[in-house]
Amino acid sequence: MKTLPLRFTLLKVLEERGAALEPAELYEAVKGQYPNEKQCTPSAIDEHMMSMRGVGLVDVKDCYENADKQLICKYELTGYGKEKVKQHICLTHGGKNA
Amino acid sequence: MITQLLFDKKLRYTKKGITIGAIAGMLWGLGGVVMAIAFGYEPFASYADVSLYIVPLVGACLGDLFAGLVTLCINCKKGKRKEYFRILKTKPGLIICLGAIFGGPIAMSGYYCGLYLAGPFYTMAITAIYPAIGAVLCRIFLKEKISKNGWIGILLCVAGAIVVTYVAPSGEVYPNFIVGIIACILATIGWGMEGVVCAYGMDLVDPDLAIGIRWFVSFIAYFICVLPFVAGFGAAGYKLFAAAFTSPWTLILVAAAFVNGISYFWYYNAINMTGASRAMALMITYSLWGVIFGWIFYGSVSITWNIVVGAVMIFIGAVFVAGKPSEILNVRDN
Repeated sequence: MKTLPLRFTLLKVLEERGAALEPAELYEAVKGQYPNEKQCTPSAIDEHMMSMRGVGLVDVKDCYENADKQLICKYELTGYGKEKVKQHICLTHGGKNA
Repeated sequence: MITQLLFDKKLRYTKKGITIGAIAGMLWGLGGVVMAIAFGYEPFASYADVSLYIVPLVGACLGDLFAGLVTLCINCKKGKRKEYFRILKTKPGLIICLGAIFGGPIAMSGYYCGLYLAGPFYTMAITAIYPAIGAVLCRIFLKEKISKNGWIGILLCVAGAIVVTYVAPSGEVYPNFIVGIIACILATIGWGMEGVVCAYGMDLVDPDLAIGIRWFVSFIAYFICVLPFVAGFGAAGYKLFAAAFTSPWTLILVAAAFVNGISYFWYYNAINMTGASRAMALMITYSLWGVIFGWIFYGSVSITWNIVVGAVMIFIGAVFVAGKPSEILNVRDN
């Protein structure tokens, strides 16, 4: 299967899992598709999530402070995000809803 | 406590977007001045008499190429090299390419044609309204949230840009004036559309890569579709393009492209972080920075009434646009 752009893959994972995920969980889910790529790190994924939150694709469902006093957010797809995933990712690149 | 931490995180993100948007405008003003300096040296100086379009359009083509290479280096360092081809195989990636065509060859060529056919006064004034056009299009197509103060800020920035760039009609006759005005309108709509189209594409496409693709697509479009026509139909554009690679003075243009590359890198990120309307309004402050850097580099700019008044309008407008960051944590009404 051809590799999608990282953002597409992140959204696809959120859509397939149907649950809110934190950056570390998303990293574990996608890292196999981007071996040795510096762009694929939990912190970079968090930046992508914040960017997509700003435009309404995802929203923060929950957050907590970890042992290092860092804020960890769990992100889930919004209705708009699900629509975009269906329109641009699942239908054209294969997926649960294809 | 957690709610406050989350709010702080969102607020930091939004403030960062506003900051980089403002810096992008400043750098674009600087890049324009340095580019103008580059045009005064070889090989551009030798070609200035070939046609009025050849230097700025070939310069724009070269600028896009070098800015694209700068952005490619940044993206390679971030480990995003392979994303270029992945994104080009997607529909949002193609939308970004469309935005690049709007902003690059269409808008810039329209701008230079406007300067030539209608004169600087009308061209500067008409093209400076592109953020307002973009804001209306963003509201309609992207449902971007723009507060009343945001609209006041956009309009003040636009009005300020018009005032700063005011050039009194010199009495010169422009026989193809109407065509020139049409070219200006084309440029204005092109830049406005670039913001809207790219904002739409950047819902899914990483802004770092959107701008990387934008430069190369714009360069290719210039190279294939514009260069053959810069001096009638012929090879003059390609000759100047090739000559640029043999002149050490081209390093000045490379420096300008470096600055422009960083500027647009942050501009696209600001579009994604604060919305296209706000990013465009902050970008238009380049008209003021262009005057300031022009004074620094050339030392001969007279501080006229319109520069002072326009500067104040732009500053106040930018403050209104930046507004209360806590009110723009969500860019859209989705």
